Amino acid sequence: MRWTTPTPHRLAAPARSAGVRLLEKTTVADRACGAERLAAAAALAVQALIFVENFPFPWGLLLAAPALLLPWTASGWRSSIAWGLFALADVVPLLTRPLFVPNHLFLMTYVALALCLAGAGEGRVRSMAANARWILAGVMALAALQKLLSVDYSGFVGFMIATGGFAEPVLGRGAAAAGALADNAAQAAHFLASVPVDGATQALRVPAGFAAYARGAAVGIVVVEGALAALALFRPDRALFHVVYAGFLFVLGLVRSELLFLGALAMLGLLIACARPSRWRWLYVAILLVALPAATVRLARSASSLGEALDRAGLARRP
Amino acid sequence: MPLAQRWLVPLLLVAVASVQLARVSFGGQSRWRGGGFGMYSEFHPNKNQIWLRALEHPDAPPGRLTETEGAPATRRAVARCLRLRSRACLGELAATLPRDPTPRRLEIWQPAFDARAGTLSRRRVAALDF
Repeated sequence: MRWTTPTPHRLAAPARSAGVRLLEKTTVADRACGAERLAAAAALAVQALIFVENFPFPWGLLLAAPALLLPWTASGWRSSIAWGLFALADVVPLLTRPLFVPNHLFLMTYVALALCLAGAGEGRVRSMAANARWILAGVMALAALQKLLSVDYSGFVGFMIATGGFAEPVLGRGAAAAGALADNAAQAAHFLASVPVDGATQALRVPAGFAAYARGAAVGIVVVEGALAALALFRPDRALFHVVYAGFLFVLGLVRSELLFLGALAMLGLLIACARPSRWRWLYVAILLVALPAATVRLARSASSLGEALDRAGLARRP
Repeated sequence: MPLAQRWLVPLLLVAVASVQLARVSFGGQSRWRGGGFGMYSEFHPNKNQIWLRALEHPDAPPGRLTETEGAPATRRAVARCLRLRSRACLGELAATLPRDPTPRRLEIWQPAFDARAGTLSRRRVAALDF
């Protein structure tokens, strides 16, 4: 180990301003490009929207405001206390309305807790990524397990395809297919609105071999989720993981527009990608740049705290 | 990396999901809710239905209870029972209904789809006479 006289052009800003001697090989500011800050900013943006969605007016907005301000502060975005408080706030609806909160609130709570525990030391980025990896693996493994355990899963996938609930932008191309999907949706709605009778059924228009098609789609979803769980756990640094995961997010966005859940999943990808210098992070940033503004617009048009604020201000535009 | 920093969050996720899976298996809870990440593994709870039948008049059409109609306590109980399909939940719902000396029955129905036959049906998943 050798001490040298520090020269201003060789030291990063904090050391220069403090005027202290550092080891020649000391890393003062790892990832100065701001990958860690970028990941934290993404997490804070998702957190803000989740507050807006899950807390009534004005609490949703009051909690979202500090989450949106923190990325602009010098170091508040990596404060354990701030993330701890966010995690505590997330827990409130989880405990008071557990049957009514969406799963991305659980996901965000785990992320906030992980960022709180990550500390402010040099291992923070590694800890963030490790926890994000485990959360993603857990979410995907559970999603696959729940589908395997559900007796209704295959039939549900078939129903969603037959009524345009899944992949409508793809399957609904062409007048005949779009008409069949619309007919099925109308017939299903009519049947479900009637008085239930044991043994009563409603036939929907499905093509020959539909059951095999539906089962294939159902199996495909489980296989992809299982593969993502395994990749997140064992190969999170490989390009294969990012390709499969980004593909999954892209298809998820096309099939079902669950924008906030999509944003939360993209945030996990970003946290994992930021563990090492890589360009994959920009893929997740791109997904977030589409999903989060769209989610904000949707929240503004719904009965969320943002929607109510706009309503009170006379600016509401409901669909 | 300290132990808590490394394992607390994954363990918490597994613990919450285990409780949710147990409640799904033994308590009639919807897979969509409760932190088990079971979205799209069965019909959404808002497709479930709760019907109230007058047992003395079997031919009379039953009435459907929804989350948007009735007294606030009833609406809350209906919303809960759509997500927690159990007799215990129906008991809580019955307690919020206006008193009536005649016997009645609350039923929770859930849709099911047979992809092979292409037919949609409903099945009764919980019922309570009171």
